[in-house]
Amino acid sequence: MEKKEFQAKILLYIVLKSVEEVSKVDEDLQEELEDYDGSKIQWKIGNFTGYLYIKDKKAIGVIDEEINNPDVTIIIPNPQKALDILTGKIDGVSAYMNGDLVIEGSLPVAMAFNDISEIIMDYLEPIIPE
Amino acid sequence: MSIEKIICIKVMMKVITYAANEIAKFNEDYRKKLEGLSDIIEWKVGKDLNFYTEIKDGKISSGEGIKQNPTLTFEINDLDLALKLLTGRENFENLGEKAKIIGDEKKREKFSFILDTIKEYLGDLTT
Repeated sequence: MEKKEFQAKILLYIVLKSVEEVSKVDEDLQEELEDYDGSKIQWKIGNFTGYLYIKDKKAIGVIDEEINNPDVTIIIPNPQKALDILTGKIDGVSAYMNGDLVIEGSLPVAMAFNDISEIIMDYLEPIIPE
Repeated sequence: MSIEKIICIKVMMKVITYAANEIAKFNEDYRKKLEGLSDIIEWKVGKDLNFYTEIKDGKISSGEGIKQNPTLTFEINDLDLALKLLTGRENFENLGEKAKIIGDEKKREKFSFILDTIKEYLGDLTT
């Protein structure tokens, strides 16, 4: 496996597990998740996949699997771009406008992830360098 | 204890386990070394965070809580130090008195290749 792809996979794993953990304790995130109860967000990055399932104000993040009937699939073919987007170096909206990030399905649900990731990034400051 | 640091430590414990298993899928030398181990490492972090890492049959698993008869126990009071170790920004060799190691410290050398290899693949991701 290419190093950048591996790094992108691990970074997605960090994000998915962080949403899981933070959703257990952060009321702001729980309020955000409540608006998207039942939503399924699928990622396809390079050659790997992962998803987030939102239920009862909590999130479950799974790597290396696809979920049935996702509400939205976020596709980032280039692992380096995925790294830049997931670390916040490139804004998701800009990436979408540039074609580096493709969205299939519900744009509002995809945008919800933008709000979710803003909350998560505050928690991840100790481990994700700027 | 800072909730952010606690979250990061919990996440990084899972990440290291996942990364360690993923690397074994494509790095044969690393996988062979892993297959030679059968050990439990215990982590006591801060006031009341307990984790374990079990290496068995070439796979690594981890979880919160306590396992019986660990091969080695690391007691790390400082959450910042724990985060530095888990993100590869600090080495176990440099711990000195900053952490307490219970068990045969020579056994730590047996496991060091795991974090060293993970750091090799992820080094510029979290440093």
